[in-house]
Amino acid sequence: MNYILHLLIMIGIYLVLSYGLNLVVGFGGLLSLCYAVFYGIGAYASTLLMVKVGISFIPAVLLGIVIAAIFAFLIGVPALRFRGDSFVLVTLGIQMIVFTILYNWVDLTRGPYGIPGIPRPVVAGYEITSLYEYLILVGVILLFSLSVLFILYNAPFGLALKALRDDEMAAEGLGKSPVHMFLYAFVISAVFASTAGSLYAAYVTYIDPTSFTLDESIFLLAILLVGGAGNRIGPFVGTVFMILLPEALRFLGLPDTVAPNVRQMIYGLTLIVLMFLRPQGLAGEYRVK
Amino acid sequence: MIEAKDIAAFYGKKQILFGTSLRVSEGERVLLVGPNGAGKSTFLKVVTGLLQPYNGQVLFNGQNITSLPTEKRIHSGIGYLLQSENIVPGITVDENLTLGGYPLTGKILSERKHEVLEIFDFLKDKLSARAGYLSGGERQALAIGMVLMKHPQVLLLDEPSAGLSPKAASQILKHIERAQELMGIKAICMVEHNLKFALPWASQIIILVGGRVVKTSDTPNMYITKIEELEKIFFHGNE
Repeated sequence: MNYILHLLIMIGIYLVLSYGLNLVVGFGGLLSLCYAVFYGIGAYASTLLMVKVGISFIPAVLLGIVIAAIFAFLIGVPALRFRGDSFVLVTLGIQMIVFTILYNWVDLTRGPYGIPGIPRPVVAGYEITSLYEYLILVGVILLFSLSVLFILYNAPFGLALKALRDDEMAAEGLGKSPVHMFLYAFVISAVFASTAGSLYAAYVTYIDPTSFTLDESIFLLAILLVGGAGNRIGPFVGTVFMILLPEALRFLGLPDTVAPNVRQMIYGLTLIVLMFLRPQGLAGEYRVK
Repeated sequence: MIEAKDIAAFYGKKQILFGTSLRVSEGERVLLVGPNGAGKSTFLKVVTGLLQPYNGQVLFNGQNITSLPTEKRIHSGIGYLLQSENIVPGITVDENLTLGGYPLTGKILSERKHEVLEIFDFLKDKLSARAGYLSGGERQALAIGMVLMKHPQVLLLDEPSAGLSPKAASQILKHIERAQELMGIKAICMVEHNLKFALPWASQIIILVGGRVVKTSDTPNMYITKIEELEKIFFHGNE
């Protein structure tokens, strides 16, 4: 049962991430390879605030959001001057720089040693310790996040992002500022990544920079590529598929000596086949370019 | 209303406009014609700020707007219909109109939609349909409707009849005329290849060849019998 609860918690955290990233990738059409940066900033900021400053969970999460939003703004202003392949490369560079900082700024982050013993969340004086309680916390934050994001998806803001994605010049001709719109989307998506990072850190009670690498950014992007971007259902399908598929492969009964490698190969092969059969994702309406 | 002075503009290293000067005054219906590559669309892009000129000034109501970003020009009263796909096909007609009016909300947004749908009444039944499923004429009507959502003072139209049947093109022109009456649009500048369709509508014709104005006339109707001659000018412009 604990195993299922753990999977549900991880799916909840990744849903917050994928729906946040959907705003930039699915609606804005910007292929970002640095989303794990904001996930990591949220995790580290809230952890350090709790461990070193001694403030409680909720204020730490909120301050983590503010810090991630400021970072997203500072990163977004130069990065969003680029489009297409150049934007991908710029975000790749940002991902590598931030990872290197997290890894080498040992005085602050403890670098590769990570930060153990992260306190359990305390909400309204109640300490959340069991998996059930944690699942409820993740569920509540997920519901709140989705409520906000779905409003944004359907609001003129979401429509304007779609218009910019489909034809930037035409949308600009209608009076939409690409720089402002994309920057808003970038900052808002960072807010949700930071929230997910704080939840993750408080759940696993240990973080180190390897949780927020380029691999993680690619994994998050793959969730949208597999599930589908630019709508409400795609991130859900992608998250569930990408988290449960490797788990399902555990039950194939492969010999222990080859099981991990074969599972990875099957996982990779499945993704390749999927891209051939459903290039817009399992439930997507927009093909990420 | 709109005045462009000595505009020089480039696409990369290729110069498209060579000191082009144009004026669109209140009450005018200006038809901007010329061969492919003459710089007509480029000129509209410079006026709307989608392309920064290398040299020259753009004035709107006497104010220098050369360094203003596009969105500020649009919000200040310049409506612009691009030559390319102007609607978002994946969302509904109603959402496209909302998008056109952005950031308008609430009552004002509803009123604007109502006004636009009075002009393009055939869109009323298709508000919840995906814009991508509309016919060519309906799509263009929606695109113009999206531009009208901001109540522009001046309308810049880049080939509104492109890809439409003669009947649909003529309908679009009638709708533009109606919009001008109902919404009090003060001036229109239209780029159009279809001279038979556009000449009777215009109050002024400006011929652009090779990035330069070669002819300006306040009596465009006299060209109705000379469409072949105009096409000859266009042909030489291509050489």
